[in-house]
Amino acid sequence: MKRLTYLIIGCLLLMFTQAAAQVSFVFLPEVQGRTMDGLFQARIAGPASQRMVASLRITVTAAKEGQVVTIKTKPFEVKPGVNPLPPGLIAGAGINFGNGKIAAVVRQSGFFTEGDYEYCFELVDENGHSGESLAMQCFDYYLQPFSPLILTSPADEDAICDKRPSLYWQPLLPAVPGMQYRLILTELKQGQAKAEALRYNFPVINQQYINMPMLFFPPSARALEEGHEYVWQVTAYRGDMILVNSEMWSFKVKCEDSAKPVTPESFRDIKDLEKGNFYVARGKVMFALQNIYAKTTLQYHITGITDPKKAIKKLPEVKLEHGNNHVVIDISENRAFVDGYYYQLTVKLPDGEEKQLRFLYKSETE
Amino acid sequence: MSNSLRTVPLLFFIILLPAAAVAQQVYNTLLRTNPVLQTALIDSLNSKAAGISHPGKLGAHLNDTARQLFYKHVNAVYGPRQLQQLSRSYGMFGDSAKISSYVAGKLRGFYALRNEVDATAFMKAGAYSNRFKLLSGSAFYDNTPGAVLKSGMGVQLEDMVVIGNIPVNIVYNSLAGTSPFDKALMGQQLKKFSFDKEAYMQRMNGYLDKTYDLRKYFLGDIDVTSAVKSFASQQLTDIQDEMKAIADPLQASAFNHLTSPEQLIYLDSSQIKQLLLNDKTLQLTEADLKGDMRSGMDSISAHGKTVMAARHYLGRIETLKASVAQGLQARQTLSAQHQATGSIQQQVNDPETQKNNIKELLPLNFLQRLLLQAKSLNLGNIAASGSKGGVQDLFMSGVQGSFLNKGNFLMMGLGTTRQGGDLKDQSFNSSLDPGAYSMQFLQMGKGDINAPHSHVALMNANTKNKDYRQFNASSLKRNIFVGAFSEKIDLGEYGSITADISKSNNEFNNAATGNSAALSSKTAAFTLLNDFWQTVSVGMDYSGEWKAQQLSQRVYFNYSGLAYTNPGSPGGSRGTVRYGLNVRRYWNKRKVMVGFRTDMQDMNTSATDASGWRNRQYTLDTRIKVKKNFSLSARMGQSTMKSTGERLSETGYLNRQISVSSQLSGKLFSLTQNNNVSFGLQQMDILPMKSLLVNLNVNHSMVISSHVLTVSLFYNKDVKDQALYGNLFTAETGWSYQLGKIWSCTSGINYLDNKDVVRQVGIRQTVSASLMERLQVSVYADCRKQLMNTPQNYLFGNISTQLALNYQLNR
Repeated sequence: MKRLTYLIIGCLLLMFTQAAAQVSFVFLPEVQGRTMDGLFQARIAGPASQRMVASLRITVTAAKEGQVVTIKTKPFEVKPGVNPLPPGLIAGAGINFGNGKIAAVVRQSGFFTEGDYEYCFELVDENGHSGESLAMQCFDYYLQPFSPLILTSPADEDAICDKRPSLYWQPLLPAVPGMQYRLILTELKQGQAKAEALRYNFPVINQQYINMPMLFFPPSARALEEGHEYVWQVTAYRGDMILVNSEMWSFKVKCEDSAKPVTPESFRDIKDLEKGNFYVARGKVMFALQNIYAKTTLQYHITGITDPKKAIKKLPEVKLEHGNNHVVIDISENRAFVDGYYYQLTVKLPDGEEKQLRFLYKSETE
Repeated sequence: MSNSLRTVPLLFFIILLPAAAVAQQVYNTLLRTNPVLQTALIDSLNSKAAGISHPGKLGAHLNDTARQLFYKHVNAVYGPRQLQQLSRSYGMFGDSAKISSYVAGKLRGFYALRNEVDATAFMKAGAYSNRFKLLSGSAFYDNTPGAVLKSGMGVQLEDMVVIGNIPVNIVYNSLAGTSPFDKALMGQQLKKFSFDKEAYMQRMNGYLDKTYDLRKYFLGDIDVTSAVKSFASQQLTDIQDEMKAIADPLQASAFNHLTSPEQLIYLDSSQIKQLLLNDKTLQLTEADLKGDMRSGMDSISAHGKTVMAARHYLGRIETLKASVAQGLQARQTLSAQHQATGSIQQQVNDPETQKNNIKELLPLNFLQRLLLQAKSLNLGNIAASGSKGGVQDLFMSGVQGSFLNKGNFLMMGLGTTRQGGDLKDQSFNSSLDPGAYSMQFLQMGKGDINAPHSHVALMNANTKNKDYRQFNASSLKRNIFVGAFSEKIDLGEYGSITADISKSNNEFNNAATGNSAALSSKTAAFTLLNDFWQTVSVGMDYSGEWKAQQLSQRVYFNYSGLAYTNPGSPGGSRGTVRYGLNVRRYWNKRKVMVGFRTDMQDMNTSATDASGWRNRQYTLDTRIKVKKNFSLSARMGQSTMKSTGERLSETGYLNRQISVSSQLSGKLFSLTQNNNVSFGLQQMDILPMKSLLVNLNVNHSMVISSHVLTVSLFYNKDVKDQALYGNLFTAETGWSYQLGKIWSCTSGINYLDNKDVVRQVGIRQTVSASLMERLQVSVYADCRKQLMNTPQNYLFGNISTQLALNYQLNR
């Protein structure tokens, strides 16, 4: 890392070479030197008093292959003070590419590849003494293109249990001074595309100034909701400029082990069940039972029909309240029950009456 | 035997064509060639029209009333031109027993009419309508120092309008907000119009159902056996009439009593001949029915007349017998057809058949017909997506539509996209990538996009120099063209493979190369093959499931050239080779799961050497369901980003993580409880920082009668004390309860301590209610007292409130 720090410092020092007397340029190669468009974000510090008409010639050369690109703008008025380039100047610029490999890539993508570059800005007089150089300034920089910005966790299309998850991604390298992250997280409503959700919905999180490639779920934000789906994206930026956007990832909040609520309709009176055909028990036997007596424990036993020899033990204790009871006998963890076998349940009701219920056991699978 | 042989070509038909088209074909052919079915159908139409049943003749005709009604129906539903064609076809039908497939189709439709009212009337009545669906409003205030928006309010209106029976969903969305530094309100309006295919089909099916009895359309209500019987008896009566004309009365009555309709069905022709020979009145010999008539027989003698009559009778009976056999065969063909395409009910519910029926039976204009093939059609601020290599995950203002007809897919769109300028990106004014493009794209080929397919995709984009609110999108003018091909192959139970190849080409405006003064082409499409290897991208993705082994897997490989540029696919990468593997296996009824995932990404950054970024990610996941209410899971992972090359070669980022978590639910002290605990260790090195984070997260909830008590603890510590936000402790409690029948609330107390940065204690309240059935209200407030605060705090505000109202209309 020390090497990298030295390198950056070295580059910064190199930036301020060859400045002409009156006019100078403000240029941040670590950001603006990455693309051809970025070159136009350089600002001109004009002469203190006089105005002049000039055109700007930007030449980028690489140590390995010489000229990469030269861009010449149309004439414009250089005003006193530090000013951005006039809007619209970029649109009419003429471009000349070099013949090397780097130039070929730049011509196709607009991005500079890794290498040692010299960025030269030159103001050319367009008033009277045509073609005369008014000012020239060059910046040297060893450019290393950005790594991809990759999200890590929660994984794309994952289902998570945590309603306040921490979010992680991989940092954007190389570390550019002043670079920070913005994270946006929004609910993905049914039928919405991810790109739509990010713009149509108010986000749950839209946090900037993040320095580390992680964010704890903001404690004051409303927690995520069970069963809902969310989409998130990280943007690396510097100042007010978007450097790189990550992919949009989605995840669902779904606790796999949260018990499914049992609806009252699932309970039928044991008297009805007794008359009916085989009852299918998926992991548990459920029935309704009326107890007109005081609280008691349900007396029952289960015998095998398919395999009568197998003893069935360790059945759960069922307590009966006064009045109507929804009885659930959970047998899914009992090893005596075999998927697809028939069984008979005998219940001794509090009033002494015996009821029998034949059922087919089906093991519960996810 | 002969029956089954005849069904063979029909079944062959069924295999070759899509099911729905086959069904139509089969029914038309049946009706066209089968006199029994024809007679039954026409007889029913005639009797419905005139109230009298006309005895059917072979190739029976519609009576005048019925025909007029039929013509009127065709005119109303299909228009005068179709009527002309019909009357022409129908004229020809007068001469032969066979009708054209065209007439048969229309006749089936006419036959299936529920009553005399055409669909036109219903469709006119329901052509225009408007239905508000939802009105929702929300507002928030959040003083988190680093939030992009400090306050905001939004309205969304959803409406469905039907124009000419075409339902269109309209979403109007307006958001406004203020940033933490500026009190000025900034706003954004988004609109989306989308054709609602589901509602459209529902609507059209509704008209279909109101107007037609589809069971009749599929000839499902004809009792073929009794139709054959009545056909046979009608024909027998005809023959008997003829016999009266050529034989004397005594003999004619002998012919009359010779065969019954049942005998006609069950006896073969030699048996019928035997009946003829055995008749005592007729006195026929076998020789009489054989051989040349003129050679030995006097045609004027009485016996000669009898022989002639008998021969005529036999000839007629044989033709009739053939028709009856054909009729009986129809029953088999119909049931074979129903077996092949499912029962009539299934057919009526099949979307492809529905599409066909709507097209055949309802009076549709051009647009309505076109929309039957549409999968989607969106206009406004919309997301657009196609296959990889073409357009993907794009947000644009424009229009996009996709269509599928007879297995041919077409997707096209145009619009403008931009990197910033939305309210969510309020704090950004420019971007490294060109800020905005105007774009046109197309994707077409065989097969639906999610099914096996071979598609070609084209994309053309031009940069746009424009300001979008605070966002300045100016860039050097250029034109980018991308051509792509994608193929998806289904491997049946082994999964599927998707492969794609994509080539981009970029041309700057006003640009020349080297010493040449000539400007290069402005149109990227003309020079698409330039710099081939630098601007090509290829990918292959296999995913599948091996059910027997409970194993699922995914392998992918991706290469993209250093200069590959596709503005239609913002997530795309350049100069990278990506490959990876993802396997997951289950054991013991899915109680044990082990998953392994690795992603490798090598990004080349230099045009002249091998410098670049090497990214490696490995994750191992396990989950064990110990008991029904208890499960354990563990995750181990490592990810690294290394820079390689001549000048810099070091690990820029390293993350190692191990975490264990448990989920337990059950009863304790006769209270239902839920418990989640997770514990993790994480080594995170981002040069020059080296952190070792310890994570603990506990969530516990308890159901106490109808209330729920939750307690959550979160603790994160950087053992090496390097990360600014690595020392966070939060504790939260919540008590959920019901106020009256409507209001459900949760109240809680929070404590937060971020070492040396911020310390807070506060309360949180949520209230939600359904008022008047349709109105849902939800309020959220989190207020904290700052026990300590520092300027480093950008993450923890002390007031966050939200209000949301949802009003559902006409649902």
